[in-house]
Amino acid sequence: MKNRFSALLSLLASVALVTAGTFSVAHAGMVDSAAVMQMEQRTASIAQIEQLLERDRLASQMESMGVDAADVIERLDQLTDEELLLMQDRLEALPAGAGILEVIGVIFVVLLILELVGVTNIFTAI
Amino acid sequence: MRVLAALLLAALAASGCARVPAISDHLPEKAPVSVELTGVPFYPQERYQCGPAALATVLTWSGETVTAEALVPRVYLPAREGSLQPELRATARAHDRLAYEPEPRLRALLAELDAGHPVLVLQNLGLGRWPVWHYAVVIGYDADAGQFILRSGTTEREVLSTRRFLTTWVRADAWAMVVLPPGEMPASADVERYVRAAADLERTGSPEAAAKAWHAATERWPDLPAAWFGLANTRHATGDTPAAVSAWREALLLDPGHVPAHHNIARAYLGAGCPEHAMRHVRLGHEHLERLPGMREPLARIKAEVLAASDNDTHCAFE
Repeated sequence: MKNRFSALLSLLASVALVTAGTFSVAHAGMVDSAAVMQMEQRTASIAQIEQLLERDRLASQMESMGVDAADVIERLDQLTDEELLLMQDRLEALPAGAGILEVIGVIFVVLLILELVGVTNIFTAI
Repeated sequence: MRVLAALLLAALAASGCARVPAISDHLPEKAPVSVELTGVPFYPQERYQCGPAALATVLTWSGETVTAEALVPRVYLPAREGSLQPELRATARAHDRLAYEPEPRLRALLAELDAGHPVLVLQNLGLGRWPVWHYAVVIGYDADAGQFILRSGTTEREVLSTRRFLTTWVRADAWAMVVLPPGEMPASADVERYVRAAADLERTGSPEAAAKAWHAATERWPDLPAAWFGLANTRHATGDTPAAVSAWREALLLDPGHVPAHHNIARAYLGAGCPEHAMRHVRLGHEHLERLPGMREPLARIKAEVLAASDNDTHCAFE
C-alpha cells in the first residue's frame, strides 16, 4: 500500500511539468504550492501521467459503484491530483471503512475454517 | 461460548503484538495520565456508514456543524458499503478544515489527544487476510488502566484495552487524521505533513481558509520559504496583492532561488502595472531554473507577456 502510494506520488510528480500552465495553475496563471510539490518530486514521464489521470474514467467507476451522478462531479472536484490518482482504478482495493456488523460474520468464517482443517472441534462438540 | 471467546483471544494474540506498548512510555512530557474529550459529539452510525458518522463527529467538534446524513452523498461508496480515506480528507477540506494526517505512531496520537484534538482513525477489526475496515474517533486514553476511549459505530463511549486498540489500528497501517479549524496547529505537527495538508487546502479549499493555515505555518516555522510562498499565493487569491507581494518577498529573502516565488511575484507585478519589476523576477527565476525544470514553461509564458506589455513602471505602486 505504502509502496504503491509513493509510486503514484512520484508518477504524479511530473503532472506539474505538463500542467504548470494548464489545470494545476489556479488564480490567473499562478503556480500553487501543490504544483510546486509535484514538480519537486518529479520522476515519471509525461506520457505516464497523461495515461494515468483520467477524471472521466474515475467518474464512471464511481457511478458504477452506486454514487449518484449528480454527486460525482462535486466529489471529484474536491480531490487533489494525488487523491484522484490514488482512487482511480482502485475503488475496489482501497480500505473502505464500514462497520462492525460484519465482524461477527468474519469471526464465524475463521472459526469454520479452523474447524474444517481440524484445528478445532467446536461444531462437532456442540 | 467461552471456548469461542478463548479461541478469539488466542487468534488475536497470535496475530502480532508480542509485547503491548504502554501508553505511559509514549506520552508527551507533562501530559496527564488520562484524557477524555467529553465535549466531542456523538453521531451513531447507520448501517455501514461509520465514515460519514466519524467525519461528522470531528467536523462538528471543529466548529463546522454537520450531520452524518448530510455527508453520506459526499463520502459513501455504496458498492463498497463504506468510505475511502481520500474522500474523508477531501470532504474535510471542502468544509474549509485542515485535514492533517499525523505520523502513524502512538506518540503522535497521544500528543493530539493531549492537545484536545479528537483523532479519526481507521481500524481493521478483522484479520490481515479478511479485513473489516472501520472508522472511529479516539477521544481519550487512560494510561493507568491501559485503555483507549472512542466514539465508535453505535457505541457512544467504547473502551478498548491498549492491546485491542493497537492491534486493530496497526493492522490498518495506523492511519489517523485530525480535522482542525484552519490556523490551529496539530500538536504533532511535522513540517512536511503540515505543508502537504496546507497545500491541499490551498488547492481545493477557500483561499481564506488556506491563508489562515499558511499564516500559522509562518509563525511556527518562520524560516520556511514554503510557508511564506503559500501565504502569498492565498493572500493574492483573496485579492490582497500588497500583502501577497510582501509574503513572496519574505520567501525570496529566505530562499533567493525559489523559482515559483519569482514566477508568481512577477505575475502579480505584471497585473499591478509593474512590468519592469516583473522582468527582474523573470530573469532571477531563469537563473535558478535548474533547481526546478518544471518551471521552464510557466516562466517562458510570463516572460512573453511581460515583453508584450508596452508600459513601463511609471504607474507602479510598488517600490
